[in-house]
Amino acid sequence: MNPDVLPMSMSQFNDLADEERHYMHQACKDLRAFSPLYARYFPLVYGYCLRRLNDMQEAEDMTSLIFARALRSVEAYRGGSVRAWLFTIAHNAIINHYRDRKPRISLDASALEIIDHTHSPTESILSEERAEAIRKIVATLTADDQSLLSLKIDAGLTSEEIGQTLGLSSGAVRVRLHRIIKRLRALYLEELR
Amino acid sequence: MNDYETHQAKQIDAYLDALIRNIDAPPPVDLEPDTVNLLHDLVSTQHAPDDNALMKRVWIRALFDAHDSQSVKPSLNGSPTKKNLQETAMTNLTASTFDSKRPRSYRLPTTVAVATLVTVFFVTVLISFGSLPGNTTHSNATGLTPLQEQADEEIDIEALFNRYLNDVMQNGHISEIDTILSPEHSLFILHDNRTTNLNETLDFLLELSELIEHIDIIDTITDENSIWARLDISIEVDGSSKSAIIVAYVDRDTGVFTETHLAIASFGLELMLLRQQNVDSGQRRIDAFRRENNISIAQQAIEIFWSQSSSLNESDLEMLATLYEPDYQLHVNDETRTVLQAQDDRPLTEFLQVVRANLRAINPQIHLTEFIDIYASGNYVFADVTLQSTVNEEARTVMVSFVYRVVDDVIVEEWWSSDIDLLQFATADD
Repeated sequence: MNPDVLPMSMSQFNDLADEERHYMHQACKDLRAFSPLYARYFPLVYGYCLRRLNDMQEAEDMTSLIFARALRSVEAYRGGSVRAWLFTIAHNAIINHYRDRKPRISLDASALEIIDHTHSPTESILSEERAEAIRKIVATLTADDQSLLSLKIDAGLTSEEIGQTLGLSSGAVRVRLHRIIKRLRALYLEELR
Repeated sequence: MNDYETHQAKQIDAYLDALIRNIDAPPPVDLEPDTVNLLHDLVSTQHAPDDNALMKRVWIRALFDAHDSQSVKPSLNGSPTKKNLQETAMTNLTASTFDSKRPRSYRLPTTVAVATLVTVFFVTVLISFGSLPGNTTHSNATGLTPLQEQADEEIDIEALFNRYLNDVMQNGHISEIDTILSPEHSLFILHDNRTTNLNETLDFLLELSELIEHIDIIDTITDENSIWARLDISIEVDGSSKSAIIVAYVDRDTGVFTETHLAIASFGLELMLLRQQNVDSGQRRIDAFRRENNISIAQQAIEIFWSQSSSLNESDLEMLATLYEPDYQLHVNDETRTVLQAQDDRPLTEFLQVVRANLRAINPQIHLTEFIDIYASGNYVFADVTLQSTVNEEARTVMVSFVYRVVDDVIVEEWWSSDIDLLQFATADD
């Protein structure tokens, strides 16, 4: 994960926030000024999309769409956490995607033969059995819970930022996260048994 | 939640934050071991990509899409029309989706389809061998239906195509490319037949433009919303001329290309593209092997089906049947209008025999004389061959192009065309 955007201390957060606001301000004049923010958040947004969509091509398309929307919306940014703002766009885009989703037919299965990047390098340190178990139990969660979990794990958002994205208090986010983990823990133990 | 659970919730939150920073971060001492294991494994499956090419692609595309909604609108005559930014700020290119303008395929009962094939092929052969001199270079000005001519009054596809080739592909002038390519433009290139997106198109065209010395259009065919063209491309790398086939689909409403199929018989370019797409050397070898294998399958099919013997014997048919998938489709002169499909009620061998018999009935002397060119791109094999026939005791030759789609070592689809009617298709009504 990009170390620039890891959960951080308040002073680090403030420095980063100032810097990001500066980029956002510049991006209003020239979209290319958004590129440092893109470099910072691309891995998180892509990771979030991949977890939610479980399809590399769809994740790539969705990531592109999210950043295109973000670029179009830079003038509408009214301060606050850029990360939370960006993931609000991402979250809404994913919700719309599922709402509009129609059955898709692969044009050519051979397109999938090339290289399988679906699993991250870090995933390879997990046994295949455990990784599969994780995927399986996460898939049992509701879409909202998957979204919250992914915002935490893949996007690296703090509970406060997740709260901003989902319209919840940070306390409510922690409670929901705790319930999700409790539920997953029971399922995980069962899966591994 | 009681105090314990509230504490656990905070610990979970904090430990997740720590794990995201460092996957080996020590867990809080009072977090339950099973929870620790789960959190560790959850973060281990985090999908953070480490792919610069992907990152670059997505960025260019996002920039393009964002810019696209604000700046330019395609014109219908092939020339870029800049509009005031404010005026067009809310104007999205309403290019059709991949599927909506894609040519449709009509599946016909086999008997009707074979009858259509006979008619279409008869007309083609008649024109090829009787009416027009051999080796005629076909231009877009001939062979258009009134409907096509009417449509061409509305939009100059040929001009668009020339811009696409000359401005973009040859000269690398991509600044106006958003007036030519739809945001959802799909490019099918060379080696793997996968749908690529607009920024890959840009990357590819830019790289290509640096290598091309000049492009000669051998011939083109347009119909309602597509262009087929064969090209001679002189590549700077080795100074040799490479042939190419481009099939481009144009959205009539917006005057932009929605889809392009591009195949170039150039090993240098293939390698370049493979590098670009981060395919490792092992994958290159697999691709090369697959291409050779596909060429061999297509070549066998052509040689057997178009052999000089007047009829296919049983062993020929058995051999052919091994080369084709049972529900294989044959498109003759129009992928949108004439589709012949082997079906359950008519075994493949019988289907091929009927097609072959009908060809012989039209022209008993027709047979393969030589392969002009054969090359593969991903699942596709492109072949140009010369067929010979005798009309009024006079030998005539005609070049026919074949395109095969080969999947898992069998032919699943096949297209036929000639240089007179390069994949100019006829409808069932014809």
